[in-house]
Amino acid sequence: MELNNNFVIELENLTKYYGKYRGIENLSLQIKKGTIYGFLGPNGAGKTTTLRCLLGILHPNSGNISVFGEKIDRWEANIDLKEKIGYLPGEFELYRHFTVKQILDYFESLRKRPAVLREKLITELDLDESRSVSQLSKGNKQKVGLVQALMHNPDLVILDEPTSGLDPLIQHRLYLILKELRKSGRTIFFSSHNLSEVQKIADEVAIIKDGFLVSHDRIADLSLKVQQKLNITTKIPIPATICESPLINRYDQIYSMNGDHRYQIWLHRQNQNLSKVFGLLEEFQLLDVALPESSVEEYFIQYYSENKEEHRDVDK
Amino acid sequence: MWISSFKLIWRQTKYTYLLLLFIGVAGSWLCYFTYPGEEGVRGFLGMEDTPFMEIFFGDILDSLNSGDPGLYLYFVLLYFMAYAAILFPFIGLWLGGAGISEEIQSSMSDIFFASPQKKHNLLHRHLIIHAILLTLVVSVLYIQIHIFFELTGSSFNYSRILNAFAILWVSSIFFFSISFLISTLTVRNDIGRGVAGLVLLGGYLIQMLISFNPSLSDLKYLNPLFYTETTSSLLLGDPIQSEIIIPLVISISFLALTVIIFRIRDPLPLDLNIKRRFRNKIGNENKFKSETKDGIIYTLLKRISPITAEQWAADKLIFLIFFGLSIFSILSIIGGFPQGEEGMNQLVTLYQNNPIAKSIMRDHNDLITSDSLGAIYPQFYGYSWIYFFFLVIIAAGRIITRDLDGKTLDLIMGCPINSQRKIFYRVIAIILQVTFIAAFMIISLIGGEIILGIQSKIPEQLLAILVISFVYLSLLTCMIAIGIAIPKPRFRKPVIYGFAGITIIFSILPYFSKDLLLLQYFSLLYYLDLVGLVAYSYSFEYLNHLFVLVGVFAISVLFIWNRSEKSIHAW
Repeated sequence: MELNNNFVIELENLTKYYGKYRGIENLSLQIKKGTIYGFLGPNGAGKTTTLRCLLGILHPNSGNISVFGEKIDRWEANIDLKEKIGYLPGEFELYRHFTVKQILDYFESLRKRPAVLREKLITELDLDESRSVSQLSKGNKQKVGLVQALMHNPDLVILDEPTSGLDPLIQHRLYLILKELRKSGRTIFFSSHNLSEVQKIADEVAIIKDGFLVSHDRIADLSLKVQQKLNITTKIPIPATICESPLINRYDQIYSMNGDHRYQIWLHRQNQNLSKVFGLLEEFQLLDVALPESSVEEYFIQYYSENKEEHRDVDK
Repeated sequence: MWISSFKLIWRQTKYTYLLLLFIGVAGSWLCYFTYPGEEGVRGFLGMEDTPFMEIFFGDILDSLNSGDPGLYLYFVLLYFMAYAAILFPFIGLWLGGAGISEEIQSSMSDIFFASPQKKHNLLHRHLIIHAILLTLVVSVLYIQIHIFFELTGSSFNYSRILNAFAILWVSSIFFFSISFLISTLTVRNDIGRGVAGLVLLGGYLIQMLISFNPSLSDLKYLNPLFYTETTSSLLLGDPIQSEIIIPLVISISFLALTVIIFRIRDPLPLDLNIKRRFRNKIGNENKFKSETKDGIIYTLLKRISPITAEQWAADKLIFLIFFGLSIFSILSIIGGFPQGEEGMNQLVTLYQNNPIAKSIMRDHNDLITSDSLGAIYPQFYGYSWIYFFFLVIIAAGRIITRDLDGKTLDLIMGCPINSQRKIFYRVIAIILQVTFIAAFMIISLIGGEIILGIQSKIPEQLLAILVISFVYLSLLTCMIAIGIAIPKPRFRKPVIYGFAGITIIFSILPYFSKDLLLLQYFSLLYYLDLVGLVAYSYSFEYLNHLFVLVGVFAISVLFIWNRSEKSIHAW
């Protein structure tokens, strides 16, 4: 693997099996310094497996990992690199016998790097340090997890579903914190199945399904890949045979009233020539046409509702 | 980091260590209060030939008959060879299971692994801190025993006691290492503790087998307890035997193996760690399919009620533990049955002098002399309540707080079934569990008696076992009612345990002083005179007792029924 210093994380053909069950297969990723990278996928897709392999918590069956330009064969040999990393696990329990302060002290003691952001994060995330961990709600435990991951101002932040259990206000504050970290040159790699949050804060996104990476793109480029959708109203009803056309993938009738017939039409991704489509629809007497904006959510749903093999072909 | 780690492990395990300290200290004073005098100790020593005595004391008692049967001897026999000999391995195996597997299960280890710490530091930390804490506890117990002997004015042999504690330390580390290895390997602390517990139980069974059949004495080399017995060091003043090196080497090897395995493998359950074995055969399956099948009883119970089936499954492990204890109890009672007139007389001497034994016998001492069966009845029926009593406490505590602890309360409350029904169906599961244990006790006890050639009074024994079941139910419902009556959920368990403690103390104290006789009427255990029930058949006196138990049961059930309607937290 050729290492590139611009990339904070490079994964190459990473494969991890749990006995006979597949975790991830041949997963390759490159994450640039100073970006927020979203890692999208449904439950059980392999997001957490990827993050745990990256950190050496799990041993991959094959593949290469490099972090901060250093190839990682054994994390034990590169243990100092972890000074620069902050990690929030996906599902975790905190030590019940501690107060919030004591547990943060404990995690602080595991690193040489000072916890310069601790007070700021506690204030911004509205966390009470004097409370016992056993009395914390799910959201407050998540805040403790976030503070321990971010308090030493890490160069690389790895967060597994960071907004899980947080209320919208705290979610918003977290987005601001992450954006601020990016401004100061930090890299953030986070997994999520919350599509809107990825769209809000991520610069780039990768989508994983059934252990395979099915797509990775800049957020700005995503909408270009989404199947174009049209909302049209016609005077004459459109027959089902229209889907036989190489231009149109499928259509749904929204309503039919007083001679107005409203449809939603999806075009084939490979063939999105709008003038040809309008030509085709002209015979049904178009009354109204609208081109709604496509979102990451649609892209995501599109990927997941369609056949996996098809997507791999598309990515190729 | 070490200070933080020390704080963490201390907070995680402080109750275990404090309990060890408390039991250790209480044990020595229990020896003092139950000291049966020189005559009683002679009676105790006279029972040397019973297999049960040989489990703990081996052949050493032969050489002591002519020795000084004072408090020191009684203390050494009871405290070190029986009490601490069980306590220390048990604490070792408990602590061994408590460490890494819980860290991994809670994903706290992930944060540790993501920090700039070497992976095996997590293990080293646990090992070293537990070794230090165990040493501290042993030191405190040693000092306490010193003070105990000073206060009681008895002679105290520093070096012998110190040797004994060193041996017990090794014993606990040995069982710690087994439990630690298995729980790290499987990421399940119950499996680690279970395997180490089986090794411990296996040790006792080997000792019992040898006592029944001396020609099997070579088996003792397979028994870890053989290498950590304190007898010769304490009573004969021998230095620590070189054999101690065997469990020590095994412990170090197991700990080293744990570190190596921990370093090279993923912190995942064992079945998920078998790499690639079936990968090509099965063909890249992505879904984790459940391959477990429901048990027969579970399937049948599901037809009665899913709540009953769930309760059965939830308590399965506890039920199995008590099932195992019942087997052990029956084996040890049959093994401890005194042979001949002389053995019987020695047992009588012991029972007449020991307040604890008196409380179990309920002053039915004439019973023993009248019939040789008298020996087996008080032992079995007298002691069996201890198991049942603890089963009651655990079951009651779990019924009250299980849903709150496990955070399943809201899920259950969201289902269209009322609280009374839930309690009703859960209690059915517990009644079934105790019926199973009772049935097993009937079969094995009667089987044992047939082996011993004593078959009279079987109907009375059947009745006694049924009464045990009913007493169990009364206690259980009473404790659930008490738990529900406490408004704050976090105080419920302590109150239940406190009630249990008072019940035991109130039933025993009157046998230390007749002035405290009134107290026993406040203890439900007073109404559990199974020895009398079996020995003298059914009589009006016991009918009165049953009325009390039925009354307690009825009031408790009414209370639970009434309260569970009013508040979801009653559940």
